[in-house]
Amino acid sequence: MQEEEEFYIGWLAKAPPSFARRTRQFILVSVLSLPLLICGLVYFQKGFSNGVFEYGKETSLVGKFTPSPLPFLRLTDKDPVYGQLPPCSILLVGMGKHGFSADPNTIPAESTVRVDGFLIYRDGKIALQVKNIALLDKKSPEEGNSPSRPAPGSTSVSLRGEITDPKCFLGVMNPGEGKPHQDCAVRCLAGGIPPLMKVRDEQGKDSYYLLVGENGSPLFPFLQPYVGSGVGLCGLVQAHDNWNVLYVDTTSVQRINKYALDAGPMCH
Amino acid sequence: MALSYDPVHWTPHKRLYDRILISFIGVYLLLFIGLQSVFHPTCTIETTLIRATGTLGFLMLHLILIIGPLCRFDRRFLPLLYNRRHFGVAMFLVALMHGILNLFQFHALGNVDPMVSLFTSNTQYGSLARFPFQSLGFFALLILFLMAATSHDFWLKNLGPRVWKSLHMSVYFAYTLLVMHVMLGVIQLEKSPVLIGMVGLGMFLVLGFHVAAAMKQHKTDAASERDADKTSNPQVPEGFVYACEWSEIAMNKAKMLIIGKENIALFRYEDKVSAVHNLCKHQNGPLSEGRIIDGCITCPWHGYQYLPENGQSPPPFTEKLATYDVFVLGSSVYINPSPFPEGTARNPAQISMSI
Ligand code: HEM
Ligand code: FES
Repeated sequence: MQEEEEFYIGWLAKAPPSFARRTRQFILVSVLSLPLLICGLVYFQKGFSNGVFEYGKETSLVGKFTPSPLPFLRLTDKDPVYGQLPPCSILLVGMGKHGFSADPNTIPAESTVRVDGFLIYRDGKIALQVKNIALLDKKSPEEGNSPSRPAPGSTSVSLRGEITDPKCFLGVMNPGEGKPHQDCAVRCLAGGIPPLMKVRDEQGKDSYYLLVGENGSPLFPFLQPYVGSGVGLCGLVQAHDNWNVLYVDTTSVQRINKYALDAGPMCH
Repeated sequence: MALSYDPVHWTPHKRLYDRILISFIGVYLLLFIGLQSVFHPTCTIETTLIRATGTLGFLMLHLILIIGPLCRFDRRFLPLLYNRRHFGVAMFLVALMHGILNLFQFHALGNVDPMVSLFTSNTQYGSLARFPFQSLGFFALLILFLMAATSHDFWLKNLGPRVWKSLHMSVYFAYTLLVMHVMLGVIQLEKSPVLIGMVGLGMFLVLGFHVAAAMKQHKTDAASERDADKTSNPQVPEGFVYACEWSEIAMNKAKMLIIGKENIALFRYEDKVSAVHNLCKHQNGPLSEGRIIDGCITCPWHGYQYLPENGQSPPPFTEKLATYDVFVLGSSVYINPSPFPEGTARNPAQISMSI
């Protein structure tokens, strides 16, 4: 038996024919099964959102600046932005994993500003990564009125969903939610980007809430352990044009199993 | 072995192997990126690259782990084993790319250093489902780094085979960490049974091949122990036990014997029989599966050579094996299983003289 007799030594220039054949077979099988394997890996991912981050494509918007409870730009331009007509509020965020904030003496509430930056949008919700902000019409600090408490008569709701950060979620990262994204969401919230809660209803439709404390205070680091997994909480919801801001009752926050979204009475 | 001390030297063979390896990596990445842009056009390029490099590194690790036991079943896969180091280093580089991309994507441009962020963003070390899976990937990458950095024979010499071998056995620990890294990480989001099944199939193959190879080895060992059991002849000197008939050993080949704690390779060549310790000084390769080439016992794994009479590597090499006394009576071979110090010259037993 020729094959029995053949012996391979790695430092020789050539492997015996039977060894070379086996090696070729192994390589061939590996290479030929690659397309199938990759197709499986790619195809069976759960899918990606249609969120967009217009990185590198600068947009200039004019509007009124609202610093609290969250930094919004309320459009006064007539043109629609990403299909949204005024009144429309755009959440302002900073560079990288940082929120946006402005010195109230330099840019008081309700001042008219022009903001340049990169748009981030998904499902009718818009944010802007601010590159530059210019004051067009300055209000005096006393004149501006930017509430940090919910208006009387705001609706009380109980919600179950997942907490992430709006910047990544809307389009900077895809996916910008779930366990793989958890660390990044924590880093964004730590950097001052407000938490976003995604709530899915029985029809599978998602709605979004930006979260603040009961008197408009930031919720980080309180929410850190709840990011990226199922959470139930109560609060007062107030619309901010096309955004919803939720003033969270921090005593109601609890971790829930995402697969048991059986909404029971939770709020007192 | 070559004349100069250069255990990892280049042959056209190795160059070809490396070219195939690089093409394999290139084809995988291109196919992954291409298919991702067809099936999931809105996925960001960062996520695509992270997933392409992560899955490729993990796939390569599976192949690397399977090659070893595969060679136990069919020696003709040995060229793959021989070239496995380059595969290992390439796998590390792919995994490193994945690690760096992740560190940048999920931890950079924040309010703390990315390395601090890696370990402090998620602190739920006490929970299984919420465990900080990225730290598992980091430690696995660290192990892969140590292995890649010490893969050259220079380190084998300096660390000694025992330390080196233990270090390189930690690849199994790295593999375990990575299975957890995937199951507690991306699988918590991507719950497709097909993807979970793929991870399961990978584990099944790695485990299955190892268990099957261990069982095969156990059978071979048990068989050689039975042989050693045969009662010895009164003409045979004290201390010797029956090994086999010399006709059972093919010319220029060996038979493995396990007697007590001794693992012995019994070689037949010319008209002689000699015995040396079965484990190669390089990486414990099974010398009994080697051959006598140009008068030297040649290890089947990487070709280290030893003289059968004294267990010494021919100059300029300095490796030495323990040797044993062999006695031939008629057609039977007997062996004294007490080893002589490594490199001790022992007279081979002559077959012709005893006939
Ligand atoms: C510093 C080290 C590492 C970090 C920070 C890290 C981080 C991550 C993250 C964040 C994900 C989820 C990404 C996603 O959304 O898809 C992931 C997935 C994955 N990682 Fe790692 N990882 C590291 C090392 C490794 C190593 C050494 C391997 C082994 C080759 C590996 C294999 C994988 C695989 C197969 C996946 C699933 C596919 C994917 O989602 O990309 N990782 N890793
Ligand atoms: S184990 Fe490498 S040459 Fe023997």
